[in-house]
Amino acid sequence: MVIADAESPGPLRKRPRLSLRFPKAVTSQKDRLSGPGKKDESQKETRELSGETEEVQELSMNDDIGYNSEKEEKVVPAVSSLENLGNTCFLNSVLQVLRYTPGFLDGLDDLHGEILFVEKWQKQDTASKELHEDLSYELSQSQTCDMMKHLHKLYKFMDRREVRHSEVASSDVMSMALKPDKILNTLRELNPMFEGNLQHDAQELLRCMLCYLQDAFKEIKKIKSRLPPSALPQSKGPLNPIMQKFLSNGKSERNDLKQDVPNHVSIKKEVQLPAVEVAKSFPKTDFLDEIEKSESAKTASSEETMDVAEADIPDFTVKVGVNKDQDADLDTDSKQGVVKGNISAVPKRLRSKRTQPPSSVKKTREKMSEKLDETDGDPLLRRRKGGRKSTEKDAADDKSQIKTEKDATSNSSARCKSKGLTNGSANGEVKCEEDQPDSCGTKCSSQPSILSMLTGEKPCKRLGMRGASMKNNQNNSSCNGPVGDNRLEKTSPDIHLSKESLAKSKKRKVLTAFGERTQPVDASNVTSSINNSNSPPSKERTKSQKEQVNKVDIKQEVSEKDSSHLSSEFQKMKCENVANSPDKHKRQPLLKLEKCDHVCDSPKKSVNAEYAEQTLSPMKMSNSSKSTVMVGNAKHKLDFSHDKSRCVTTPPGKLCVKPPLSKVDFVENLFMGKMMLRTKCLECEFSRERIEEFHDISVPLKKEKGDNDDDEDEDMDSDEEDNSCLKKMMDAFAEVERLRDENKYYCDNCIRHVEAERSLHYEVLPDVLSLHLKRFSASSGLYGYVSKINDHVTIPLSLPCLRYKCPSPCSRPDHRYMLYGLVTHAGVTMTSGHYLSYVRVLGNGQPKLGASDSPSSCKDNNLSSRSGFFRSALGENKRSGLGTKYPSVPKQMYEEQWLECDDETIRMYSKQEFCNLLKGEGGSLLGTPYVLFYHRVIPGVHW
Amino acid sequence: MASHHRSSGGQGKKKVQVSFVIRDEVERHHRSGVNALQFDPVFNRLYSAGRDSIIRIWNTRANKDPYVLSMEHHTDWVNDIVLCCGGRTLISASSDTTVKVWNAHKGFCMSTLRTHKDYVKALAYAKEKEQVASAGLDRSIFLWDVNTLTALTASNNTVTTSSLNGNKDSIYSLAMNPPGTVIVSGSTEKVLRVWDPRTCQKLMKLKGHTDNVKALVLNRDGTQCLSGSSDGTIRLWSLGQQRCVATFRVHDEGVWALQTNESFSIVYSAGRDKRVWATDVRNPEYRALVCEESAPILKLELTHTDQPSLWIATTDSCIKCWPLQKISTKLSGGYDNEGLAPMYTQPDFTIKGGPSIRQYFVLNDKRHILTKDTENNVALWDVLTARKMEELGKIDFEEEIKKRFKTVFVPNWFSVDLKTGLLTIHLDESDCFAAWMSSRELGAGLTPEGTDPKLNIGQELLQALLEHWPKTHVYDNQESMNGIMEKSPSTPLFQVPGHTPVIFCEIGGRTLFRLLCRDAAGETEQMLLNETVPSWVVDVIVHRNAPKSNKIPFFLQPHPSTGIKTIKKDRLSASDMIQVRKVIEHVYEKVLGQGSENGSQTNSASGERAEPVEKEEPDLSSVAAEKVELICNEQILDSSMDLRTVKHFYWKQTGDLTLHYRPL
Repeated sequence: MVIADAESPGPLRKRPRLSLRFPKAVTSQKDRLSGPGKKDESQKETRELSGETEEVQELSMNDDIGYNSEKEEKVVPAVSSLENLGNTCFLNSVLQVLRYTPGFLDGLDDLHGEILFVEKWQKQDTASKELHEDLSYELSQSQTCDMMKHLHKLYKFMDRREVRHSEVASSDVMSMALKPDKILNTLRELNPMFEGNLQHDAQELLRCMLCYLQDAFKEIKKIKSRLPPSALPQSKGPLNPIMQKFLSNGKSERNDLKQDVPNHVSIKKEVQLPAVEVAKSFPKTDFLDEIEKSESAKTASSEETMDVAEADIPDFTVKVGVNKDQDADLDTDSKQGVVKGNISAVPKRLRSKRTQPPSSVKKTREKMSEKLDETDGDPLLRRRKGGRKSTEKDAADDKSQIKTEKDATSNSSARCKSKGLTNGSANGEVKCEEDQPDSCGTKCSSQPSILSMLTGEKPCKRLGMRGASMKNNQNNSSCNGPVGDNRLEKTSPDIHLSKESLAKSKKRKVLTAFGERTQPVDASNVTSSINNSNSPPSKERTKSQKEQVNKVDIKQEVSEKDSSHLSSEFQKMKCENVANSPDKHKRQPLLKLEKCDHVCDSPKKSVNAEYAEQTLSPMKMSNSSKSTVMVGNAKHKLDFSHDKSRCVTTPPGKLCVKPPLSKVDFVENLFMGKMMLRTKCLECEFSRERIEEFHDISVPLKKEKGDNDDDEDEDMDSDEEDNSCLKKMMDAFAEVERLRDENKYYCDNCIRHVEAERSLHYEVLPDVLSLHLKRFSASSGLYGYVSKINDHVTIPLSLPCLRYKCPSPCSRPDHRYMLYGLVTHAGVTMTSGHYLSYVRVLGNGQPKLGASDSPSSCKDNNLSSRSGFFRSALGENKRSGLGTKYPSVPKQMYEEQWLECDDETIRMYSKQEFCNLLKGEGGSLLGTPYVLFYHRVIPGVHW
Repeated sequence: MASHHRSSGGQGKKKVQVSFVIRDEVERHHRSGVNALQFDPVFNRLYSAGRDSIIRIWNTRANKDPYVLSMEHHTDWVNDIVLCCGGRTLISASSDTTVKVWNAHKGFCMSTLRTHKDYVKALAYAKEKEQVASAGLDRSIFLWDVNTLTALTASNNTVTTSSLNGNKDSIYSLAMNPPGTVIVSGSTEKVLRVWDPRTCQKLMKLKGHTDNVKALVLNRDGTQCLSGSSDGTIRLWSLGQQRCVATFRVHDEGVWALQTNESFSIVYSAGRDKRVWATDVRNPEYRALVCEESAPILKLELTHTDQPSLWIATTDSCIKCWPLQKISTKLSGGYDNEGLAPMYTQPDFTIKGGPSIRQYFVLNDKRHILTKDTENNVALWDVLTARKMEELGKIDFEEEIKKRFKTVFVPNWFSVDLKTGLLTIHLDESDCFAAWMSSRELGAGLTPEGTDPKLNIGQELLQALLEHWPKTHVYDNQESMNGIMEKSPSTPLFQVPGHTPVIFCEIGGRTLFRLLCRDAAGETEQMLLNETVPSWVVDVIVHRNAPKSNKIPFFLQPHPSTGIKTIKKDRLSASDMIQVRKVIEHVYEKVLGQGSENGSQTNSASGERAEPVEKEEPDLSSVAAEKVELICNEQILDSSMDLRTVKHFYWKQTGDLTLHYRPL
């Protein structure tokens, strides 16, 4: 529903702006159209399309003002909107924001995949039907699952609509509008509160939605746990599980993150574990820290280190991102630059590994840097040249970066040849593979061992699960890249491990252990192996190598099978890649080590590092030379502990550490934080602490009048200015509350009522922080009605660090939050008025940066890598297909712009314009900001 | 059980509750922590302010039994004391919100100052001006002229005080220099505020601490100040420069107590970490660990009689004296606090403390309480007689609770408070009269008529507590003359010990009046009682208005197995004290037609108004019990059980109790 006055001024003012922007999109779109015909058909095609048009787009993006042809001004933006079904703007606004929430679509995808899997299994498995009828019954009954499916479908439709917007979009706002009717219906079934056509509280809806999603997850999990073992993919043999997943996945790429542990018997899976693990859990904090550190610690060439960092950190996501963006054109300089960066990173590592004797990590680092320099020069050329040389042989021999490059290129070229596709995507993927192996390798090396050590079976299982899921994702979604990664990872670690360093050996052992055993490794075993590992690398190495080969083969098979499901071509390419990959990967772990060194050495130890060390110490690792591995371990441990004991007080360093996805539903992953309520008795000074979870933070708009009698105290700190600032309010919210006077606290220690201080600390902050401004308060009204506080609130685009343990100007960028969306409410009461949402189209960072950065300026690469990393941190593995991760078209066309989603109507604002709106200068937002959505800052990206 | 939050007080007059403490007549030992110490060098007496609300005087020369005297009048923790007028007068501050002036030699309370509205936490003394300042959680500071205070009499009891304003938060510490030129307060504001007590003008505000300031010392001329804070630091402030000139980080946790020597060159500090440090104020790297206590330290008192020594009070009830003579030579450098051995491991002298009650459990009969103290001794107490019944020794508390479980339900009618380490029972208007007991249960035996009347326990207890208050007798006589009451309850069924302190206080707030049970007949006490006894008490024990008994509604139906068809579903109502036996009689008589009328109502009143029918009770009930049984939730009920117990233990549901009868 729309309030007339609010509505009318807005669009009129704003439309003209649209015209500025819109033409580009259209033109570019047209260009695309001229290319291969239908986009929807296959992911590939769309990718190609976008690839071709990429250049145009980027151009247009780069100079906003350049293109404005007034003629098209009537065409609505190429962004899917939602139809108002009768006072459903509260729903629409929330749906829109969720759609642009980083990582949300991803999680939804996963969940959807799960559901499909379960359903499919139920259909397929006719034999045991009777047995499981109850299960299917349950599932079909589950309205929360329905809700999930509808939601997924809606977003899919929205994506599709956007892809086809050039055909569909017209001057009619409805042309891009979809009806969220099914969701609405399900919602009403789930909660009768939403029945009727009354306006509802968007915040409440959001909470409900998230709860339903979580319920859906739980249900799925429950059902899965009750599936007979035969139902689970593994039982059918090593290869089958994957197949099954693919089958079950159908179109949704990802399958079951949450599959039950024992499933993955296949070697492959086990092998993959590390990579997956890394990708998911690692990136967030640890890598970030590393990057930072590495940056701070000036290595010989900053660029190179950057590259390395890039390669390591971003994992799949970065690469994926690259792929996506670059989808089309390989040739763009920017892309190449990126590619180069990655590649160059790889070679270094490779080289370093090979050349490197057991000597110090530092040395290797230096070498690497040198090599990087060399490679940086013209990676492209080399790449192009490179044939299919990359084989194991090569790997073994590899001494020079060129070779490595060749490998890299070989992959790409190989693919190209085989497919006859010269898509950017292929290249991109190639890159990805290269990168990934590196990262994986490194990660793998440190992580798996640690994890296994620490947690015995559990980690393994989890890893396994993840690995599987990851694979699936990768395979399906992004064609080859990911698959390669996994394998690469596996193999690479082994090889690397063979090297003398403790770390490696450990890793290897773990890996081998994985490889050999189909079942989860006992912690004891792992540890023992680790202990042993110090001495005997050589044998193991050979062994591992053999295993590797085997694995590779297996993988190939697997991948092939997989491919049958997907576009076969790509799959093949993957296989090739896989074959190639091992070589490269061997070298990678070194990189890891280097970074670890950085971590250790750099004076600015990040909190994480320190914590890691602290946590480490209890472990009493016998080896504990201050090796990098240790640090790695420690970190892992960190992750782990976090994971395990979510309710235990978490050290500050963990804030950014996120548990791996699988056990936790994505809503929890994205939105859930923890706050600690601490009550300290002022008499005995004993503190009681309670941890509470939150999905959002409700910020009181008006601070309750303190009982500070205002006797003119000369030095009342000048709090006056800007009390309306959100930050202030949040501070006030988290402020220490004193229990005194009539409200004393009963202290069990003192056995009496005493004064006490109650304080609130954010222990764990979620990736997505939603702030609910308490605009509706029962108390503020004279009549006992719920009335609305319409006060202006200064909303910062980024929130500073909210963690109490950080020094007051916290310099860690990843502790900060950026605004990406808000829901506003216009009107006077909760049951009337109009909701709409503003969302920022999150650039996926990589492409844009890549485009803007000249290939030579690799310094900036770290930016891009980080942003990429960030995404990975959010647990999304981007794939290049239709944008499940992000709304695809808007992302490309309107990146970093703000969309005003007013039911059917979408309007565009530049960042500046939006800021002005926020400030209330030159117009204002439609409605007052009500729910604010922040996401964790992508380090290095500045606003 | 104590509620965890105080209910917010209503506006205006607060409700008054009656409390009493179950204790020995003479409590020779502190029952809980000791908050403050003062030493009188003239008589070698140590004054200690206990959390058990008692100030005790100790003869430090008597090794055997140092106990001299108790000064009892406070009703809550005594938080601080100062000895003034050359040891003649003691002033104390307490969490009962009062400041009291004592004759220190004889140990009686001379006057009570009630200006504070919350716990009074700290006192400061300007020796040369005989001025005392008090401050507390109500954020206000009052300045008192001691000579005026000691001159107060009952007739001349107005004091003018000056108050120092400006504190924005609860004050936890206070200091004044001997000439009385500077006064400093420490509060949860984390700042020190400084006034000139002569003009009551604010002088400055000193910022630096990051947590509550719990201890303060000023040097003689008021130019320097030492502060100890919950943030674990000690800060040295220059008042002239209005800034912190040094920060000593010798403690791991909050610093709660400070003492300096005369020359202000050495500071002794202690606090939550149980350690006592001596630090050279000018060269803080010179310091020594004096000793390590076994509990968080609340107060230090430096004495110089023969040799310097340090009296230490902790949250434990013992007070220890530690020698200090070698301190000056022992000061040494080094910042590593760990592994440092204290200079002394044994105190010179220990004043033993007693155990304090830490846990309690009210037994089912709501009359007896099991407690466990800090020495793990378990004891059984009788609330009604305000006495300890039994010492059970060091046995398993939980086991004992289980062992003493009885299938009896009595509603809560009092609450228990352990803040002083002793059992304090609160009687509150809201539930005091909730429980009834038959006089037989109370041990009073049957009335002359042979009936077993139901007595309200709260009422009986109040009567016992105020037994000596003449007013209770006056009205009694009047009424008996009027013939309304046939009984003469001037002699209660039981008595409480005469030394039992009876306290009238606002709920969760200020103490209005405290007296010993036996003193109620005193002239002043009578007068004060007339003022303070709340009307809800007067109503019952003076006007003799019997509290209303609780009615319990229930349904009486034939048991399904009897095959009797329910004609109608009667909703009956009876006193919740009525016994199953009576209901059986009712069934036998009225429902099963053994009686003449068909009543749908059981005997309506509480058992006290014995109906004629009940005179033949023994016969009837025995007959009835043979013919009928009552069943609730498929369990056959014992005929001696009362309805509230049935409801609580057998019905266990909300909704009206339903009883089934079955003829035998």
